[in-house]
Amino acid sequence: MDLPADLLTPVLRDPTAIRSLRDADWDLLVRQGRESGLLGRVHHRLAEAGLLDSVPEAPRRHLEAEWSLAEKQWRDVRWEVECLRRNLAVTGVPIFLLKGAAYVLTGLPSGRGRLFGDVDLMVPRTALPEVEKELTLAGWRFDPDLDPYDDHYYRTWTHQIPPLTHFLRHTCVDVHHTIVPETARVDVNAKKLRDAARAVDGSEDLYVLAPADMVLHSAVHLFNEGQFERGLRDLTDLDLLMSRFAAEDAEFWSRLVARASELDLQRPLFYCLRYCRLILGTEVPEQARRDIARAVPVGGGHRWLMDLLFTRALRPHHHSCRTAASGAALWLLYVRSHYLRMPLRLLLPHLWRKAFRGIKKGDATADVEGYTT
Amino acid sequence: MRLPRRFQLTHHLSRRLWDGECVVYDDQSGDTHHLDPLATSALLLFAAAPLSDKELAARMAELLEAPEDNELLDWCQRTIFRFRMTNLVAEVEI
Amino acid sequence: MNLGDLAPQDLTRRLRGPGVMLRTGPFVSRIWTDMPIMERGLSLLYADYPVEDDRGFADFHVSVMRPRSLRRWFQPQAQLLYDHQALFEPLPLDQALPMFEWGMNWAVGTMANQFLILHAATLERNGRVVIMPAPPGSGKSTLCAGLACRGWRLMSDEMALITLDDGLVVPLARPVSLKNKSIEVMTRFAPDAVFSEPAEETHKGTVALMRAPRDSVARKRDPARPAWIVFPNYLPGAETSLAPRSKAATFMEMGENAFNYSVHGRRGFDVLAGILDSCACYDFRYSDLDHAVQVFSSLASEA
Repeated sequence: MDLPADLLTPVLRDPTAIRSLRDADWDLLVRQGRESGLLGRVHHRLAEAGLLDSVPEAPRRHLEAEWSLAEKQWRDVRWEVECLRRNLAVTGVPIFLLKGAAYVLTGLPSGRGRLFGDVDLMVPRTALPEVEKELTLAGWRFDPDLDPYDDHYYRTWTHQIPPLTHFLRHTCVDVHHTIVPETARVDVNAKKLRDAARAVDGSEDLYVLAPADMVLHSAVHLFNEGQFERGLRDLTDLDLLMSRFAAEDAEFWSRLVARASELDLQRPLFYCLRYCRLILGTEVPEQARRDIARAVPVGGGHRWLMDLLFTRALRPHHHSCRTAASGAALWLLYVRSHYLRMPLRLLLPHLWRKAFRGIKKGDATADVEGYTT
Repeated sequence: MRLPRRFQLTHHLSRRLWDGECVVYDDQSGDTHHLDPLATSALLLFAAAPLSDKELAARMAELLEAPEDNELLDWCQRTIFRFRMTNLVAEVEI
Repeated sequence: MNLGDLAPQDLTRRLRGPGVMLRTGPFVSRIWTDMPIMERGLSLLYADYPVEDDRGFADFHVSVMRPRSLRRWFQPQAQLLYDHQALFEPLPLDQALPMFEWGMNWAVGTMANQFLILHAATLERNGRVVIMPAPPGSGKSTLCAGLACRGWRLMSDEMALITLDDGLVVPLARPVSLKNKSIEVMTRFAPDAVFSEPAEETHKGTVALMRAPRDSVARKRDPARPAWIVFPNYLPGAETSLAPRSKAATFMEMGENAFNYSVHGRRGFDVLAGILDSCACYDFRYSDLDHAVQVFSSLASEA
């Protein structure tokens, strides 16, 4: 079966693909890019390739508009991190920035042209109560509608406390104590990550994960957590991270594979290398591919199933790229992500509850009043 | 002896003056602030040099030809507090 | 070719097929609808707007459709979709047209970040623009409609588009949304003006849309420089008065109510400050529309 037109992925893979686009294609590409949170990144890629001038004026204005928004969020992330740093300074607790915030603070290309949701940070588990207390004193609040079930779920089954929102800035911070759920079948030793972490330039209390760990975390997040609204964006993060690290360090690929085995994260790395290469054309050396494939014995049937699910889940988040099969793929990956974190006997009631809560009215549509006068 | 705590303007500010009032943009926080003529004067004094609360009170007294009394010092301290809370001035590291 | 030039069957075919590519100011919107009430409304209000090739590029993708629920049989509704996604909860059928306008505003306000977008009406005379920011209930739209019918070019009723390069106002002349009593005021003030059927019991009360004057629509590519910022305030029985107001306070009010001031960071600050530098700022109180229009005429004739 032919999948519907995905114009976005080819452009992310090779910016010169824009040369063959007609006006009607730009009409679709801009929408696919916006819905996937990647329009700013397309702008960045085209600007780097010196191709912005080849974009017709009307779509180019959309790229520029979204780039402005991405740049605003880039500044906001830096300020939010600065506020967190100032407010946590009294505790002396080191702050480990994760994902988007880490990319921004270390000037990585994966931080540019990107839209951000929350600021994610990691602190040692033992420091959690102190950090939670300082943040609440400085104006961060838990969702007042958070019910005891959700609170319990976060604290028991995930690797973070419930999200905190600042009452003035309305910014959101996720405080983690490790990078995968504590009870997950993949056990990652948070201390190993902290020991390898690197200080952010000019800072004594801000750290980011070591390059290999940053990739592995991003891979675990994408392939094990079952959230694909920003799947393609997260995949391009991985592509940009790995390309940059490989250019800086000739040993990067072997370190990455070795680290995955040390942290027992070979499977997410296997998926990461496989789908970055398949979908975005990331140049992964053959040696690394062979080593990781050897470490993850995957049968042909399993590989077929995973290819089917992930290639659908990682398409642009836009109705033009959705099929009946993609809805099923997303649900299966969602169930899988919970199975990876919870025992099945606990999972079944949880999903039952999720499905039940899912029919509550209203999240997708806003009230009309916000946009009129 | 302990040195007085001095404060200086932060680095990322843009400002416009209209009729003695000031609008300040802070490129670090993304916030914009509106200062009345007195607060604007204090901001401009900080722009000239780092100041302690007492030094600010002395400059303001000169400027306004007013007595350097407790009321003025109190106003200066409250202004410094507001400026610090809004990221307009920061303490000078000694 | 303008929308009014399309044969009725052709309009219907496009609205249900590839979409009508409607140009408003700097934007082209692809519009779909399966509702006769919408089709009539578009023909009435948008007859003078150019329709472009449906194989081209559209900035926005807006549809107004009957929701596919059982309810449509006993309580007909209209649903606004942006690029196939529901934007708002469905509303009663007769609110389709105002809802479409809100959807168009939403699209501009959330996506057109190539502009600084202020929440204000803008009108031009002799090459100079008056910006009228004001909260709902201030009589801004009434005054805007009144001026548009008396020699001022309507540039926008809701959103002032400001270019980031040179701080000019870009025209986005669309229908003016009038509420409650101002509908009657305007029909008396401008008997020749064209209005849509009023939609009753919206969250704003009764709403009717006034068609933008033809000349304003035609001058869709002429930007102009702002010269005045006027905050109108309709006060029954009040004497007309025009009083200077603080530029710094005006800056703050406009920044806080803008759609995307914060998106542009330092650049947004510089552009808005440039506008304040070049504009005289006033508070304007009025109760009589004729008198109000006279005051604006004398403002425009000053050197």
